[in-house]
Amino acid sequence: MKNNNAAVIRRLTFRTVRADKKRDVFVVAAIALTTVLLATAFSIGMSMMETMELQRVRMAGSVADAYLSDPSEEQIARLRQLDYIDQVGVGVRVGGVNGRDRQTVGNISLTLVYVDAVQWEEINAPAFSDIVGTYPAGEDEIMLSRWTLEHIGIDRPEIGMTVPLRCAIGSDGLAEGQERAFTLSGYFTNYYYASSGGADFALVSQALADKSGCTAASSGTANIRFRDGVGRPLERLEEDITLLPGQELTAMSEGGTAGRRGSGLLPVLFAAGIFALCGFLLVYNTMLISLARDTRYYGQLKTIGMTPRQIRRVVVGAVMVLCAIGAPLGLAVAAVVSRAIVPAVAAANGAFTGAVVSRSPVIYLGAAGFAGATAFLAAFYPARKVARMSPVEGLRYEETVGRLPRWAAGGGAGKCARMAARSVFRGGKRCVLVLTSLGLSIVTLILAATVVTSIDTDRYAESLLGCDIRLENAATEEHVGVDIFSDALLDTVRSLPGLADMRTVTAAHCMLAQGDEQSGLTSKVITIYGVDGQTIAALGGQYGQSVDIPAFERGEFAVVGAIEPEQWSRIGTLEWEFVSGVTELGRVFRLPVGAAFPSELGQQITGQRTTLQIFVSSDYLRSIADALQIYRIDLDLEPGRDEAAFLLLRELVRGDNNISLQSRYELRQSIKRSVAVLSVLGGGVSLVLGVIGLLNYINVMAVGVLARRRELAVLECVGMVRSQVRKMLLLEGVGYWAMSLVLGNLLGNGAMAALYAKLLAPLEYTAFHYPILPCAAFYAVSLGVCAAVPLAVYSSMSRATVSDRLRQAE
Amino acid sequence: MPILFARGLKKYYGRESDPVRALDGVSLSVEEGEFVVIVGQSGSGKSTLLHILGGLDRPTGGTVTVDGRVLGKMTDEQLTVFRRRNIGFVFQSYNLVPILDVYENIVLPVELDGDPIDRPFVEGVIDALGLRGLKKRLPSMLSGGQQQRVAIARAMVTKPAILLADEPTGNLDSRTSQDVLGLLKMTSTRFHQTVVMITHNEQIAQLADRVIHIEDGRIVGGEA
Repeated sequence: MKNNNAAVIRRLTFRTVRADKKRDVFVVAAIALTTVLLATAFSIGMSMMETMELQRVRMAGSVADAYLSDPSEEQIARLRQLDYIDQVGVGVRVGGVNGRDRQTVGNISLTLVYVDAVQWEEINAPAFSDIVGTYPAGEDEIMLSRWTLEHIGIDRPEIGMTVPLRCAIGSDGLAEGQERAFTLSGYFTNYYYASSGGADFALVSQALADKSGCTAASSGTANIRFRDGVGRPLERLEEDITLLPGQELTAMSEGGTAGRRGSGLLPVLFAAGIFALCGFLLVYNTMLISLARDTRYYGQLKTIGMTPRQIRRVVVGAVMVLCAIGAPLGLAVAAVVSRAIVPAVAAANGAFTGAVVSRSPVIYLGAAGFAGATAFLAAFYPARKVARMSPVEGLRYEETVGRLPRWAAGGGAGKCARMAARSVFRGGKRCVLVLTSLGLSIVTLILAATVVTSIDTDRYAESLLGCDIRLENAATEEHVGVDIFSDALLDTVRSLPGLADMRTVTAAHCMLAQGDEQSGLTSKVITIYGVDGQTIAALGGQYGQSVDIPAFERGEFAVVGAIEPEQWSRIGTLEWEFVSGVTELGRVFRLPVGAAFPSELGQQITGQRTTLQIFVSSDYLRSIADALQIYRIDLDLEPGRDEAAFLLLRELVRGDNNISLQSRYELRQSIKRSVAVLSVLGGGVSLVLGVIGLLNYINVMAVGVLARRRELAVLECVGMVRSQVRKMLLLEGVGYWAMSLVLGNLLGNGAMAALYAKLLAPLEYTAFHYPILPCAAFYAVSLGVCAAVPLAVYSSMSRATVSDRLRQAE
Repeated sequence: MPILFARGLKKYYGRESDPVRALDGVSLSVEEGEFVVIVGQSGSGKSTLLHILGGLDRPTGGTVTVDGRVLGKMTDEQLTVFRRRNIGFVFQSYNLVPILDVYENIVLPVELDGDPIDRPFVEGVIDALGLRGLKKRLPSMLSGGQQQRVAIARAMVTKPAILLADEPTGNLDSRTSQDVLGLLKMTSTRFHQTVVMITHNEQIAQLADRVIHIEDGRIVGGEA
């Protein structure tokens, strides 16, 4: 018959917990700290993934996975039948509001779009927030974003209010339209404008769409959401729906969600591993010390018939009881910490569409699971050691020194340093644990501090902006012809204090005159930019192609930015006609293509990655065009003058939504905020790991000195004066400190060199700075703790006479 | 002139109004080279007396003079230094330093004093106590009897004025006890070492030159 001893084991487990309150506090604190770190790491990781996904979705204005342009009725019906497609929404471009009409829409480009119910409810609405009102039903009803409403001049929108817009209904959306009074049926917050270069859309009713004559097949899109788990099978879809000529089937963003999650999880798991290891060390260390003291007690239990398995159950059970207290404590603290940290981390990572503090149960279950496993393992090995000890051995247990390291043996025993060294190494596993724990905190500190100190804010600003201050036409490329820089503004710019250099990019619209059918651009309006030779030389340098700059400045050839630059290199000569208002109509200009760069490089000038960008010298463009607009002004200022100039210009262009103002000063400030968040995060993690390391040390050292009560009394008894005892203990503490410093620096500097070479050095905005100050501060604090703990413990114990201490120890 | 002289020693614990009297007016003197055994039952105050005689504890009243120096007038630091130069201790539980090997344990008091080690004397003590082959062993590698022999050697190495032994055979079996007592007696004779030993065992007391009986903190028999 099987014994039922669960009750007695449970009773012994709880009695064991109650028996040593100090140990309990240490173990609970260790588990709580581990859980806080794990849950915070998981929370930040999950929240950042969800935040970035939210930002992607909000900037896209849609949760669609792909879209099909100009879909026919048959294609839409087919899409709805496919088993791997979850939802299909249809949107139709009904008309547009011309950006040149400043009176109505503040120079933004606004497209009137009708979307069906699926598109609105399942695909658009999840990407918007704060939706008020309903989707337009009547012909004159309209739904607008708050961003557009603000540009129109409506700060406090109300349902039912009249919104007058000058717009063109029908297929010719860019043509001058007529004033039309819409009724606001709803409004919402979206961030589509941020990814569209300042364009937005207005939602209109099916009635208006029907009246306009526009259809999905003529000017619409089918927006597709695939079922979960199928990925984005565009090739399969292409075969299933058979694309028509000119139709595009495009994925909304590159890479799958799963891939992004995978790459985001790696650093989180790495951090979690480090945290779990530190927590393990602290719990393991505490249990090892506690069990060493309780060995006689477990020896007694074995003597009266307890099996090794039962002893293991008692020890591990006691730790799991403490885990049941520590883990929820840690989870509660982590929930609060996450709520405070995640928005800051999200903002530091450039998430401007709002932060998501993830409430995924994975975070809390994962952290609790990790912490529980850590506590279990940390208890299991010391428990096994005690359980395997023979009862007699346990009863007679007295801590002894088995063998000294060879280097420590011999020499003058009276030398305090040698005795201190022997005492450090007598602990064996405990010594290794303390060194590992303190060493890990130093490694973390070096890594975190190196990342923070190596971010060079000046370089960061320089890598993102090619000049100190940039004023740019913020309207879309289609509206580049709008003359937004007034003479007064230009005069102010020219007279800015400390202005060292001023470069302008001019622009004019044209249409290609050559019959290049492949490019498909002959019927579209293209922008031709007038730039200086220095800018083109910089692009050539980046692309590794030398350009004859004097010849370019003389207007002997044009430079092209294109998605397929090779194709444009082969064309040889560009032919174009300017649109109305630039020169007289019908006049054709020709210029050889002197160089062709990828459109990503051209984007540095135009701000957009368009199919074709044409660059000619400013002087040349001025010589052939009667009317030119300034597209961009780049300013360089003398050192230390950019902040004042930026603040002055910001005041001047405030309220003018068509002028975008960027400055290195602002970029520096923004990266400084990010660096501050990184510092707090890295510093926080280093601090907690440092505290764990020091707690491990305090635990080992305090218990070690207390356990040596008799030994220290004997030393005094045979003539060691207290100053010699103190010196020996001080050297022990300093020895732990020095060894962990060497270990931590060896590992930390090695890891830091690898981290820097692989991850930081390739970044343009990093410059290596060894984190001397944070490291020095930590070393000083840890030296203080390492030195103070043994002295404090000895001081408290040595108040009693040698005789009393000898008696107490016996 | 006695090497050890104690007069009116009192040691009280607890409340002033109703103290526990561990020692209550003990006076005794020990001549140089004498082997004195103090016998008493458990709780009689013999260990307290030995600790006070050795300067490990301070009496509530009375004075102790060792080799002409009054212990009560010394600071803790002076007392410790005096102890390592003039008093040797042997404890029931050996009290060797676990991180030091046998030889290092033996010479520890000399090294703490910074003095050069008198090697012929140390080797003589080691040989006399039969520790020649154990010099490099750690205490954990020794038997109880061997550890006690190391403790005796350590107590003698500074050629102290007195050697105080607190139940040195308390943890040993009878045969080993006889060996250890024989060695103590032998060293006392051979090195003309003054020894004061406490025990509860009347038989052991037979080895002594003089026996003092203590009970309830007072000398009750023998020539104090």
